[in-house]
Amino acid sequence: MNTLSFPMRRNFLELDQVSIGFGPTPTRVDILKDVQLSVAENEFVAILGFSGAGKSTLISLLAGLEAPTSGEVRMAGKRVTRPSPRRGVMFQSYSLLPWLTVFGNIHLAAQQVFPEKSKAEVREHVERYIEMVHLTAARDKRPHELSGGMRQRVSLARTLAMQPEVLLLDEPLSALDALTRAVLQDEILQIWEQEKKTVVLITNDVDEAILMADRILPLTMGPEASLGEAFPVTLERPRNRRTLTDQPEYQHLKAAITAHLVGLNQEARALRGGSLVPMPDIAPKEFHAPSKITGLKWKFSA
Amino acid sequence: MRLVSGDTANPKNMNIRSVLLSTAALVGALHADPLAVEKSELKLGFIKLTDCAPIVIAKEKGFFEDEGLQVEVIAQSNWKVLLDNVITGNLDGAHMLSGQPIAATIGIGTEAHVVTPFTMDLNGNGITVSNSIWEQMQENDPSLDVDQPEHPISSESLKPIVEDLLAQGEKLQMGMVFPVSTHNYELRYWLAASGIHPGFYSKTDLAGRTDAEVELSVTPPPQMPATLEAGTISGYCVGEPWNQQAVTKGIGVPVTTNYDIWKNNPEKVFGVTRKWADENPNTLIALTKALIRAGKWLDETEGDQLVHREEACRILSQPNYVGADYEVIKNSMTGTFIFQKSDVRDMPDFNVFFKHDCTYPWYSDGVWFLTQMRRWGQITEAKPASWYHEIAKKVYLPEVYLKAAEALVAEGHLEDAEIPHTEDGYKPATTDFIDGNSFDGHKPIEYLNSFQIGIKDDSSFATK
Amino acid sequence: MKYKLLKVIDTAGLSFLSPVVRLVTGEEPRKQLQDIARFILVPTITFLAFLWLWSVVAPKHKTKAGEVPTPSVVWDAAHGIWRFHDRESAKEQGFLLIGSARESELQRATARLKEVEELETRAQQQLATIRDRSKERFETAVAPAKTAYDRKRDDYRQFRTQQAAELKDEAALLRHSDSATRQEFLTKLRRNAETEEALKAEVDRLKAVYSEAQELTFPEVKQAMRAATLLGEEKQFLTKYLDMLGESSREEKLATAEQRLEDTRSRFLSTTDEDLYKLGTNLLKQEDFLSTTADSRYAKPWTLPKQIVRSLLCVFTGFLIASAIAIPIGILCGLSPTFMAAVTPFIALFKPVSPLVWLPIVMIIVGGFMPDPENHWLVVALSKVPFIKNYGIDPMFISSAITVALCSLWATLVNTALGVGSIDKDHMNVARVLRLNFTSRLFKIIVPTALPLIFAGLRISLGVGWMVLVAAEILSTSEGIGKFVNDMYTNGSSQSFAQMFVVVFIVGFIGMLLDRIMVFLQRLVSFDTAPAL
Repeated sequence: MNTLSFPMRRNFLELDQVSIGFGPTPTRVDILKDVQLSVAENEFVAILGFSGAGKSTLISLLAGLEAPTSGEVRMAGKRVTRPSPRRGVMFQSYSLLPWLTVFGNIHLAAQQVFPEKSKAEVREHVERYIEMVHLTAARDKRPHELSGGMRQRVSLARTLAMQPEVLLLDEPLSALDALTRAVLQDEILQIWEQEKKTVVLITNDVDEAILMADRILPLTMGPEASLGEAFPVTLERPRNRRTLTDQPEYQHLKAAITAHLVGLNQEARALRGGSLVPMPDIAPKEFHAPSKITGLKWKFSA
Repeated sequence: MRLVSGDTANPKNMNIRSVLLSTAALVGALHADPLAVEKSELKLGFIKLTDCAPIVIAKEKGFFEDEGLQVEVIAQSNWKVLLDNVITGNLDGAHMLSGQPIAATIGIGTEAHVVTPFTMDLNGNGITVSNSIWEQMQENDPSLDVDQPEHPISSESLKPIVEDLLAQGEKLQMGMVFPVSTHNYELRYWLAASGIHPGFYSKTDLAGRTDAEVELSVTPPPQMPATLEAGTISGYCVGEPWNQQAVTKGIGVPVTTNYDIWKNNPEKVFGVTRKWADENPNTLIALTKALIRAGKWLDETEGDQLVHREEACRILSQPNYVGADYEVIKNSMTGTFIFQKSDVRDMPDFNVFFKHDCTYPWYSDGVWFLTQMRRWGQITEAKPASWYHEIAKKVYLPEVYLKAAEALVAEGHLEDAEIPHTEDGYKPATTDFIDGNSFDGHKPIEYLNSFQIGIKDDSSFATK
Repeated sequence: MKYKLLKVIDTAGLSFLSPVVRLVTGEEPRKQLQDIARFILVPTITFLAFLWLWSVVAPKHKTKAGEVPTPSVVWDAAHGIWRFHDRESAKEQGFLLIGSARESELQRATARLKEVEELETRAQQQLATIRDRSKERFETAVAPAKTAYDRKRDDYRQFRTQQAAELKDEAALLRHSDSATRQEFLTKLRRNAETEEALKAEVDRLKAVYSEAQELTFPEVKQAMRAATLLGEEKQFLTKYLDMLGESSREEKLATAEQRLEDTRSRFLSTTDEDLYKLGTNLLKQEDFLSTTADSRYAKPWTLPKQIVRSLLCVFTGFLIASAIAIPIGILCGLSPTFMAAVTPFIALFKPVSPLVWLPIVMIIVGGFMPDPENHWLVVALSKVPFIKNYGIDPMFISSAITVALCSLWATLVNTALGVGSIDKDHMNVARVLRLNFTSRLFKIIVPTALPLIFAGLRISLGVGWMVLVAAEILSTSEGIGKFVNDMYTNGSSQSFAQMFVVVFIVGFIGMLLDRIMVFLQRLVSFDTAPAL
């Protein structure tokens, strides 16, 4: 897939006035409301939001796993109606098939996406991606024999092996420890630099977003979440995580985004008429949460 | 055709082989040609009772093989299963109760035309009562309370017990092995001989308990002693070894044998379906030949000593045949019968396999069973005398028996004197019954009407 | 190497062996010894304790069906069962022996028969002497009880007749008496009845003592009888064996038949005065006879080892039928809640039905499909399959297998539905992103996910099937372990009871083996931590 032979498309991946809600009509709650998004080809976009804000729903919409209640999802100008290997998704929970080995998991995807390739070609293709994520040694291991980071690498390799035009990363690193996370961030960036794909990264980590993305879009508090004002990241690439924090632009950007998010949070609380006094994270034994905040978790890791 | 290939070339083997060939020539001259049997691999069913002996012996002594038959002998769990297996074709033929072919042919129970060319044995059953009934009988008739009471013991002393129970609103329960079994008719005969009513069968009463003073129920032979011990029944009529089991285990006391009820009564037959007999006429003759030889072998004597019975007991006690202990089988088979621990008697004719023209399929036997079926209402309508003869001729195949016997005479296995030469296939009239009644197979209706207890038909049927 | 071995042991469900392996390789000896004590020593001790308790308690409980066998008697019975099998196999082989091998075997068996005959005669004599001696002892032992009983019984009888006569006479005199005298007479009658009853009770007591005394048995008689029986059985076997080696052997039969054929042929070719038609047909008949003789084998009766194999064959047939029905239906149930709703009532209704109810129904239906079983295409086809053909596939076998299937398929069905129903949504999303079609989805995602649960279900099914089979065989008299049990029960010999115990252990052991195999398979297909035991 040679992206260089085409001129860059500005509105490669679009969300046009997209709303989605669940439940029966009278009590329906819109998770996302009137979301507007436009991602250019080869752009790296990070969507930053609180847990439960509807980030995963957003990815599902982009992937075509879920259909919007209203509005339209478009890719290269065409309406998205169902999932496709052109939009590779990397799930937060890895979603590896536990009965297959590392090789088997990737092979399943490659074989399915490239039916025209011969057996040997598919094999070679798979081996290449295993090597790309440095898992050659663990080639014949099953997922339960791997660490979280390794599993996510497999997931990455599987997604990349499909050679998608768009990579949709759904908090791929949030379950990992800080060290592994840093290593993987670097790897993903490195691969992105090589392959130059359109990437939508969902994260709750401001540092991660600044480190990786061209543009950061905060998701407002759900329900009825939508995308807020964009923060373009103009830091030069390749970015070095050690020197990055020293740059004033970084510090400025981080402060602005954090302030914005905190503001969103307070706004949301005010909207709900809740107290501003911080509450300890303890739930009484019989606590009936108001339906609107059921299922929300208060988590913000910066 | 070189079947024993290779070995002949070896000089060491030449010797034995030439010896073999010379003896073979001798034997070959004696043997007639085997019949061209339609079917050479057969499955025969049996119930684990000593009177299956002819089938087992014919197999173990190689009489079947001499006829070119490969026979598998398979134990069946009860008479119903056995008959069903013969009818459905799972078995080619089987050891059957004399009443079974007749009943199947006239449609009592499962309907199918079953025939028999061979009677397997005479006598061999006993009536056993529980210890407590025996004690009460002894009380009613002190002459029974000795070590060796006088035989035959009638049901006279049982009568007061039955009456006492009836007064309490209860009925004595007794077991027999099958509704159309000899045991059922013998037990009824024994009871009715002293005026105890064992109940009628009817279209609606298939258990045969209408008007009953003693109720009879079906129990598989091997379960008789256990059922008696449990008190479900107070007595039973069954073949061996189940009477001897009861007495050796101290569960009950055999009071009489069927030899006392009717001397030399027909007991079991060898049965096949009419269809099978038509499709395999030569095989049936071959089978009958082997069975006649087995019967003769079993009854062979030297002086008054039965010479082969001990070997037969050894064979029968194998687990795949009767399987009971050798010592238990030996008692009745070698002509002794234990009535009580203190009362062991010689009963040389307890099991007859060949003597007294045993193996011949007598029409009169068929008529007797038919009269008993009518007497107790299993045959629900009055039938003319001609019908009795007709059915007996439909079921019993003396012509097959005679062909087999004549072939055996030709081969030197049988003497002509050993074949019953009869004019019409009926045994002469006899009064060898416990009640002294006379039975003439030619006169079924008169016989039927001679009983105190039992259904009687209009005498006009006698001439129809 | 060590870890590979440990892993194999673990997968095979033999984890109790792993401390042994670890100990041998010198890993934490103290802990390993503890583990060995816990997982090997403790079960062994409990089992030995069980055997001890059994051998102590068993002789104390007497039933009229026979004594409860002790472990050694059961062991003996097991030997007996094996001996029967062994001898029948010997006959089978003897029948086929040829040439010098047959000759030498013939000599060996003849010599042994002579030996056994002598031994048996001696054993019989010994039995007779012991019997006579014990009979005397029996009579002396029983005599006092018998005399006491006889005397009391006669007293009682005399008392009864005498009193009855006296009272009758007295009653005759009372015809004109007043009511008071009559009342008095009634009291007398009552008193008399009471005395009579007391006497009767005493007679009964003595009778019980007498019967109990009669129960006296002499172990030496039993022993002598057993010895004589064993020898008698061997004699019987050798007689038959010699017959199978000699006159009835295939070789001799063939020789006879061949000789006769030759005779007839030469007569046919050279005769001038015989009926050629008759001779010719005879010749053809003899040729037929020769070829059937050439193929003939000893019709060996079913012995327990062969019955066990047939039972296993039957249970696996049933199990295969059950799996072939339950897994697809289970998958459909898991995939479609509507289908599940449609099937649920049937599962609920049929699951609790006993095999003893299914079997007669199945037998009637199967019998309906096979009016002429020997020529039915299925039976004919199966009788050509190697191995299986030796086990006589008949409608009873098929009915038993179907009954096994009907009783065992539910566990697999429910578990499969559960496994398929609990498929991870993320895995389905992967399938959707990859645009897998239905079959790929089924075989690459759905079935593998459900596999551990399917196998858990299969394991239960096989266990249920094995239990059901024995019952089905007892009822259908289809050859197998169940038939063996039924036969032994109906045999009612002194060995029967012990033989049942043998079967208990065999059935239990095979059931355990089957379960272990299923655990092993289950672990092989389990991708996560293995759920075992």
